[in-house]
Amino acid sequence: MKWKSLGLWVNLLVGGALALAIWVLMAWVASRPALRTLVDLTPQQSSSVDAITIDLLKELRGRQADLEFHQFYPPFEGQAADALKAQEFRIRSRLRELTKLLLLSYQALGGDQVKVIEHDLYGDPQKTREAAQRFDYRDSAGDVLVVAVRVPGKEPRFRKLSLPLDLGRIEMPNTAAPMAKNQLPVLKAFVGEVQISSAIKSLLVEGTPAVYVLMGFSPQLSDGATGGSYGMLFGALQKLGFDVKRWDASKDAAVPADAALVVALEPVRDFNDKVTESLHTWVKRGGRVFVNYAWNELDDWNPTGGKFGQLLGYEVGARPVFHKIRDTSGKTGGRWLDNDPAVKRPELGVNPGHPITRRLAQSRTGLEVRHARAIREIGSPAGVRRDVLLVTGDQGWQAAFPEGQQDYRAPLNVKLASFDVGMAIEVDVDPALLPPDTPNPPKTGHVVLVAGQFCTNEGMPYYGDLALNICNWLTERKVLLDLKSSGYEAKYLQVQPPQIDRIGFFLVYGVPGLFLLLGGVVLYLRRRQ
Amino acid sequence: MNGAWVTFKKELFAYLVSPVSWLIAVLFYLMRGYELSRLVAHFADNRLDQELLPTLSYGLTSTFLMVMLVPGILTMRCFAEERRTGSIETLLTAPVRDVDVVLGKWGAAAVFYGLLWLPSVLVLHVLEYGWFLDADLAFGPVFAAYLGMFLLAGLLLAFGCFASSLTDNVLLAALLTIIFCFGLLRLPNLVAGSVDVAGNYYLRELLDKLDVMRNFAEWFARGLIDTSQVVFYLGGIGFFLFLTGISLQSRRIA
Repeated sequence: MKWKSLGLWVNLLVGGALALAIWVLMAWVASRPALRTLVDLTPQQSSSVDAITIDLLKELRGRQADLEFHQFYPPFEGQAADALKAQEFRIRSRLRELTKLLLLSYQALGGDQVKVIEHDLYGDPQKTREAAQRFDYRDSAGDVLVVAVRVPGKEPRFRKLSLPLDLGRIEMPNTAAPMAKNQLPVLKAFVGEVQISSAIKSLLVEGTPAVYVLMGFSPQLSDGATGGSYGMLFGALQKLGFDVKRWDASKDAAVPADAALVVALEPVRDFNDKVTESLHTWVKRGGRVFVNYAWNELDDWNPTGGKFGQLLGYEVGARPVFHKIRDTSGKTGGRWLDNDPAVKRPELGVNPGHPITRRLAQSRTGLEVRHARAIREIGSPAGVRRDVLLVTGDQGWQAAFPEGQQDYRAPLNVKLASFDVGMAIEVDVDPALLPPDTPNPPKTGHVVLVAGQFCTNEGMPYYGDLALNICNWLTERKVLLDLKSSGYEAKYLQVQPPQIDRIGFFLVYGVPGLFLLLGGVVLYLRRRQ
Repeated sequence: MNGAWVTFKKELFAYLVSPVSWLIAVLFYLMRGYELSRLVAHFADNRLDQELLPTLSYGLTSTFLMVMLVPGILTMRCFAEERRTGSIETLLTAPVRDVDVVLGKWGAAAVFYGLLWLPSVLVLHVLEYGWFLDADLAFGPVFAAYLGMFLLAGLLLAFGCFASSLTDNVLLAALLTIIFCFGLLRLPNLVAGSVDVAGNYYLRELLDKLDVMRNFAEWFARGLIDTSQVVFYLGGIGFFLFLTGISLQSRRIA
């Protein structure tokens, strides 16, 4: 009998071991990133990520790079003393929650190579201290997410993202406005995916590409905080991992040796011969240039492209381009409207086939520019191919201000038409200009033109993606920033005391009482049977 | 499968007319009602994001107790009672296969457990009306949490069936299941805290998978369904039901 009993236990153990092996195997296979699927039922799909992020994580796996997310969330200090502090705590909590939720997707999609670590300042002070030193984190920085990438054979790199400043969009009340005393800041949106994926992408890129801003042709150019300045653009480029530098062409006309991209913003006169030659030669050697023209009220501050334009086959109109606006109220029976300041900001169509604008076209992101001018092709320079990027609708016209008065009316005897305001130019590389021992010589140089203001501080919050796409593409980084973020919007619960009383009664007495009653009836009927 | 269906119906009926089942329901909803009303008051006082309410409602103590204690209580009688009263011999000689018996008993326990949870979803729906919260709650996390709870309970109930098949002592079977539940709910966390898992991928993965309560709170209750976790739970259910089957078969041979 003893042997029989032993046999039974052995049977159980062997069967159990085999079944356990099958269970482990099933769980392991199902955990592989290729087979693993996430179904996102979270509110507003705040954990879903764009296809671009999925591709990015695939690239990460392909390069066998390790990705670590370190979360530093210092505890809230005491109780909120007032409504403002309480709201700050609420926003911070929500941002932490949304970040954690989003990182779960990165973890699931990234597989073994992605680690998500939340540092506990009290639970494990030693490890937290080590990590804080490694990433130069200080308590005063508040809630921070560190994105760290380690590519095999290379130095590990990391980037710090502040939850309230980078990942969240917090609307601050205008306390100076009347009736605004009790208003509180509100978490308007969560842009975690855009920021995190951009950080990963910039960390994966080898080296730090240098973007040189051409000085000497744009007297109004400033990196300040005013609406017409470019501080936000430069800041965004730096966050993307670009090294933004200045190229003072009046001192040295040669394009800096380490330049990955040259940017000319709102030049008010054509490039002089030295700079033209320098830039053109650089483009013929595979260089990349982005020129952003804009119309200026001073007549002689509207360069048309000059010799640089002739060499590349383009010319910029000297007058601004206006475009009739839609009659959204429908009062005119579908006619388009003019004689409105809004005609100064033409709404543009984007080229759905070009990598710079493809995703903008797919996501139907509206795009407007101020002070637009028309770009037109001239001549057929050898080895140059031109592609229209941005175009107005067919209700546009070139405005003329003969008496110095700005006139927003469409001229009567001129046929309305569409105008090109953005162009990508591809130039064949001249091998003779390349040093003889250049490894992997480039085949083409690129110039991107936009004739209209869109990436100033005023425009960046709305159309900044286009500027960053241009820089990413020109420096041969894949388009990343126009990914569709979930755009989470917070909904705050507002309940009055009588409602809470009713809820308490319903939950504490109503529901259990109903079960008690039902149970009593069932047991009574059972007894009677 | 006819045998499984017959067993399922018989067992489910037994659960539905058992005073213990109704007592569990009353106590559970009493505790949950108290906790939920306090949670709602907390949300109202602090004007918290209403989309978090369903998710946080699954992090209450009543959820933990329901997961830890109830599977043991529901399954303790499955086979242990039959063995104690001797009716197991009748069951084993009846024209039903062991697998049908196991599936029928486990299925009845799982469905009853699901029925116990179902009113918690309906309660949240009722709270949406103007008389109560007057707000649109996010039901995505509720459905995901319901699925997660069903899978987790299915695993624990499958272990409960197995534990019940090992002994003729009903209390011992319940105790074994409760210890297993407690271990599964607490042990991965304790191990992760005392061992450096950051450098060991396989240990980290194992502990991640076994940390069922954290997985429930961080994934299912937030509205995220990870197919690898679904496979893990289904595999676990299959594993313990298989062991239960072997245990019964061994008894038949003995």
